[in-house]
Amino acid sequence: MARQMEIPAIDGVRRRQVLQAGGLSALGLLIAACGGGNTPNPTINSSGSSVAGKPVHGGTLTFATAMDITTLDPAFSQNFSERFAFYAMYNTLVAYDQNFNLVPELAERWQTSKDGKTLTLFLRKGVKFHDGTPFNAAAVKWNLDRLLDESTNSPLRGQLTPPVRSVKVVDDSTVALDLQSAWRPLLAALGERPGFMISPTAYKKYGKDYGLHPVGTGPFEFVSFTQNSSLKLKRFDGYWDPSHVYLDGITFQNVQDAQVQLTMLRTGEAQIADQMTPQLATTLQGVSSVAVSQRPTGDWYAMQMDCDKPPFNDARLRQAIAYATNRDGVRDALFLGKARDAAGPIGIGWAYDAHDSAPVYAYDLDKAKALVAQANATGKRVRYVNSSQSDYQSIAQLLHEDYVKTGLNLQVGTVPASDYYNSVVADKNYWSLTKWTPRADPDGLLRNILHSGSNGNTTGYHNPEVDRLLDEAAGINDLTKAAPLYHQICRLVEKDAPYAWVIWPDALVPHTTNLGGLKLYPDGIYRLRSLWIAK
Amino acid sequence: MATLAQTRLTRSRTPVRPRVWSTVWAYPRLTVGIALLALLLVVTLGAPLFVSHGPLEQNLSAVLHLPFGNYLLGTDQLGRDVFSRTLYGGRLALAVAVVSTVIALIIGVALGLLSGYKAGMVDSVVMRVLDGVIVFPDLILALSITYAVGPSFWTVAAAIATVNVPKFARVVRGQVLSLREREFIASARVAGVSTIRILLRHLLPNVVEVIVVQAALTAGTAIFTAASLSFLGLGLPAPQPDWGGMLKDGYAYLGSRPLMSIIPGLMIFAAMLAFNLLGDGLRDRFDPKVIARTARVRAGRREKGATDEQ
Amino acid sequence: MTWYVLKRGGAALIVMFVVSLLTFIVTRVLFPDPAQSILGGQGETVTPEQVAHLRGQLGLDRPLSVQYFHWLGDLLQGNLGRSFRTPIDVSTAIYQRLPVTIELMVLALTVAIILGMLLGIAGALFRGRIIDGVSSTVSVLALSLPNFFVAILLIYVFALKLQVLPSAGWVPLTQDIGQNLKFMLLPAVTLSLAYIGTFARYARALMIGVLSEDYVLRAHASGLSPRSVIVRHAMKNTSIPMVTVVGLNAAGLVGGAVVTESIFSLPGLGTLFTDSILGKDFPMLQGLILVITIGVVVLNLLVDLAYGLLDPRIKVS
Repeated sequence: MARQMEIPAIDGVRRRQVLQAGGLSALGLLIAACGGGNTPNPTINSSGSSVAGKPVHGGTLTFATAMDITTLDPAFSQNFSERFAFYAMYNTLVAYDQNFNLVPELAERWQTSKDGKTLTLFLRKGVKFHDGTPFNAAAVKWNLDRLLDESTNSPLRGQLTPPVRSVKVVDDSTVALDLQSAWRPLLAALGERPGFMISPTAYKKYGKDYGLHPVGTGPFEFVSFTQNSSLKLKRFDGYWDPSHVYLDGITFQNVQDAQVQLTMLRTGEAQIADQMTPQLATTLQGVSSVAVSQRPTGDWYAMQMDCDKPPFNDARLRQAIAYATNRDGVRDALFLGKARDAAGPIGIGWAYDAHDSAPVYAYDLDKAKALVAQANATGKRVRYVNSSQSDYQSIAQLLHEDYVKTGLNLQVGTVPASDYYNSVVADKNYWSLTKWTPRADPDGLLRNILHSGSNGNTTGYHNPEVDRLLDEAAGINDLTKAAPLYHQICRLVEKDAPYAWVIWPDALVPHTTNLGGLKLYPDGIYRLRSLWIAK
Repeated sequence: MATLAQTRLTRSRTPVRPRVWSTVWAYPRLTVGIALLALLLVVTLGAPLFVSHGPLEQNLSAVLHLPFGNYLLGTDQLGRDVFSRTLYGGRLALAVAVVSTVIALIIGVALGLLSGYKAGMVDSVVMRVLDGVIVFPDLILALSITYAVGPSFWTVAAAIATVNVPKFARVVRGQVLSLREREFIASARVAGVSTIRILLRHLLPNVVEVIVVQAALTAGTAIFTAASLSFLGLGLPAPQPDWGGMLKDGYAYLGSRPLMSIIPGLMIFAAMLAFNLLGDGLRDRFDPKVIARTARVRAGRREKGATDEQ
Repeated sequence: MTWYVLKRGGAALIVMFVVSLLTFIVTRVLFPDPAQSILGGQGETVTPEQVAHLRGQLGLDRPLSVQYFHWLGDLLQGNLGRSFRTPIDVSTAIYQRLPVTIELMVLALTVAIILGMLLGIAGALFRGRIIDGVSSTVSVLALSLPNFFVAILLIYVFALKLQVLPSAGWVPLTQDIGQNLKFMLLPAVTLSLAYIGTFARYARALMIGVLSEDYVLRAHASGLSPRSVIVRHAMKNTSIPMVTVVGLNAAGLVGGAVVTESIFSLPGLGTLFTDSILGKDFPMLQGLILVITIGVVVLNLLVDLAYGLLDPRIKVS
């Protein structure tokens, strides 16, 4: 950065070009966003698209993945890539589409009572688990009760309680959930981990070993699993929706390194992979057999600051950090334009506010310096803790250069990636970079990190108005009525700046060009079940 | 066993000639090791003289720049000069090596002297505990400690030191065991010299050579272990440049920017080589049998019969 | 001899006790509390009550000394416990992964022994000549090459540029030997390199020693051809002590396996170890460290005993 300012003649030209490129792609996103109503870019925007045309049956898909699968039991799942497997092996009660709108899956339809306190699910008939167990109301009750039971100790329990009081079997294909109060986000949760239905028979048979003997109702059934090596699935002949399943099987092959994954795609050893950086994508120009599909996500990176402890209990310092955050630099230099500057916590879905696309505190080092000076913090030692993960490292290192210029004296520490979030929760770091992935319902993420009563509120943020709006919005089932409340929440939070949002990165999915049926979801989780391979 | 007296005796037998050159020719490993280490010290400590960009300086418009032009070895993913980071990274690598070796040396030598001299119960307890430490493969113990305590310069140095303490203790104890029955120690004991004094004044000078050799070899493995920790993502914290971390970052761009990982890899290799050669060379230098051999080799080239080192 | 075996065995038992204590200190005392991360990382709604409940279930709320003796008691009954992260018993997981690491180590040792012996013996036979110099230069270079760097170079050349060997992946030996070896080749070479240097040095020193022994000199004098002297006497007598050298070094290979396996994505003990560290899977970590270190202790004991058998002088002391 220093160099650019000193010698604008040499580096300035390139920089402008880079900025232009980034600006163009951001513009492209905005155009698409308009086309899709108030959700940005619902269409797949591919730099090299997958095959169109009539799906072809047969073949086994190899998915080169940096997989961290440790269990195949959704109740105890924590790792991201486990869900890639779940969506192939299991069905959820409800599902959501590429815009986070709810669509039927195992529940053909649902109904909320007038007072909002009863949610009735009408189940699909004739569905069977891979082991032959019929899927019915009793199975749903058993599944939900298992998660609700305290002794199960499932991390998912918090997503169902407090709203769910009990689950009742109405008849063989109807279940009623008795709620404490109207609670819209519950349905979206049933499209995520808590909604995956496992076979009660299999669970009773395998007990504590169930996680290595998964049995669901999904289009693919379990064959074998070797941790850190491979997961093999084969087509389930008794699947209830056979017309959308084309592959004979799916193999998850553990490959950690992006470069190696790419080589496997080029040699045809794999058809789809999950590690891709914008830099690597540029090396693919001229390679006809591999393409990278891209779409915006609602994931965000942000600097988080503890609002309830010095030094960041002084709002001026939080604002200074927000002003000193060089979003364009991160977007263009690290993501090569394949990202959007993040203004706030909702970057996608029905609650996204198209009018809210610019950060409240746009990049301005002078204002940042002035605020630090006003707060009497020039030269003050401030501890900054970062994760050892490479994306965190790159972003934080890039931003540091400007943070130092505000006059703060940064003390940088590193925590191993796997221990990072725990150290944030334990309140050991009052300033750190964080990344979040949106839930299908905005309440899922916002309540967790912004509500003053939440255990996930790691910044100590407390705004009674935000709490009230969050509670009110969660009880509204009509999305068009709920969305304005979320816009209001976003503005309040963005102004208070417990987080300095950096960017919403795009999802980049590398795959061979003979892969068909690829649909990217804003949650970043691959749905492999309806893919096909052209001959 | 090589005592100082013996060594000196043997040394005086070597041909006179200009001393420096004869040493250079007699101990090629030592010479190359010292030269390589000196070169590394010059380029890392004198880094500011050679580089035109700071190691932390980012140029966001020249990210992943190819070598040559403005940047001799190109830039990394943040537009930082790879050449500059390589040189500055050496400071950290050498600092970890030296600090961890010194810590291990002080503790290890103290334990070795004490347990070799005191023998009996003290010896048994100390050695069993050290036996317990030594059966942990280096990396496994260092990785566990670093992860548990959290990575920082001092944690990494302390973890590597822990791994190496038993090695110093063992070689020193071995030497002391054979020295303690010798006459000069026995007479000192009879004359009522304090234990501390015997350890420091009488025993320590006689084990200096093995300590120095062990220290050189330990520094080499310390460079390796520190780099391994960084490579596995548990090493020295960013953004300070460090070879293992650079190699790990560069690995992600291996296909398009191979130099990003090959350069720091070569530096780790060079540093390990320098310390290994130094250790080997010093051993040659201190071992009278080798001196005898090299003298003979120079006189009549090959000759059968004499035993070699080890 | 019986007395010697008992003495060595007793010392090994004490070392094992020390190891168990150290393992416990490193994994339970130094490590951060795992309860939070078991219940859920980022994005899960975990209440402090849930964390407390789990700590109780896992016995983490008891005093450390109680935890240690409880754990030791389980160990003595052969119970290594159950993983925190994966629904599997620690012993089962280790048993499943052991073959991969053993195969890797055996292949690496084979390569290292063959090349190391050749290098060392060549150096000894042509002592002081160019070949000797080349041999010792190669061995010090091999010793100084860090394994992760070698791995990256090999991947660059063979997987990315030539595209003749895979850089990651694994097929069980029992399923397809050819494929399995293809996946194992680069990792084995990576792991072997440092040991080529080590073994070459030992082999050279041992061979030089043997060549100066009376019986070799006598064999020479009796007119046997140099080749048969070397093959029949010298090689044979170098090989026996080499076995112990290999035995003592095999332990260190486990450390190298951690890095090698993680680069090449091999599902062995090394990747299980790094995963368990990162996942704070204490039971797995403890089990692994114990199995590895006790393996080392037992190996050292066997080497010691073999020494005792081969070298009569040790029996006396």
